[in-house]
Amino acid sequence: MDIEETFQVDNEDLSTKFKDLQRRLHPDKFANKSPVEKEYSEQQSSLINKAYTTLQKPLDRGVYLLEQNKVYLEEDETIAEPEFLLSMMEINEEIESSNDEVSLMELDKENKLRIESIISSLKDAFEKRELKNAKKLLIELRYIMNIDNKISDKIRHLF
Amino acid sequence: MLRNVQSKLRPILGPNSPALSQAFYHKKVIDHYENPRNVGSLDKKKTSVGTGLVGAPACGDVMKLQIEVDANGKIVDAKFKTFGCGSAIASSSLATEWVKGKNINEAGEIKNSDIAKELSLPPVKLHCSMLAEDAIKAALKDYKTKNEKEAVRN
Repeated sequence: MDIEETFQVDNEDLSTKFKDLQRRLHPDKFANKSPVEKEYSEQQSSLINKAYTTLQKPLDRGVYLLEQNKVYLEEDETIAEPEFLLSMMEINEEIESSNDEVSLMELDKENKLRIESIISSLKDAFEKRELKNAKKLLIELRYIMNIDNKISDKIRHLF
Repeated sequence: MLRNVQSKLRPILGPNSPALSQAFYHKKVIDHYENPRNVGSLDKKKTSVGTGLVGAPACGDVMKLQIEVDANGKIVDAKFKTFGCGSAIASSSLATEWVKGKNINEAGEIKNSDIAKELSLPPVKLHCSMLAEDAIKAALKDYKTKNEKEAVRN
């Protein structure tokens, strides 16, 4: 997609390039072309969609970048970092017991700050090519994004 | 916690669609997260209590499993708290049921494959049962460490 392989991505540039590519490759453009050309256009267009959605989100983008460097977040891995897990447990419990808009909004605000801070550390880690640290931060981001979804879900269901 | 699972499912399933939900999860999994056994906490400061806290980095689940052991090494109580998917909740709920009444050596022999088999977990959810096995092991280890220290002190 002509995007540099860095964690820092300019979302506007990404979106412009995505739209430009889709304008050229979208199956609608190939309606009157041969079946082979149609098939290529469908394949390319769906690949570009996938690339765009992956690169847009910091978590997916980070996991992809790690994988490009042969570092993987294994499915069957277990972590036992008591301090981190305990704080994740506590935040989850807090969300569970919060049932009013004010406290949920407050939790959301706190969590958005956590997201920002992890993303900025991730940028650093990738720039310095500290992949082990990047992996650790991406795991944290995964937990924090789950929490973000839970808070948004809960707010949506309340109102 | 339960509410979380249901609210996650609700957008896809609608409030009352048992037939559909069974297509996603085996009925034993559904049973465990609709009626989770032994949810809660034990006093982690007590010497007779072992606490296991583990996480699955690939999905962002966190699982806490606690056991209370009597003077004969028998597990007399077990509690869990899990924030994660239905399979992770069911695996830890089943794990607490299974460890209760066992002595600490027997409990250490519980295998993730037994949990997965009992709940008919699909291959993509096997790691949830692994997490439960790791949680049991971590709780046993915590109990043993605490009691070795206690033995030294006496």
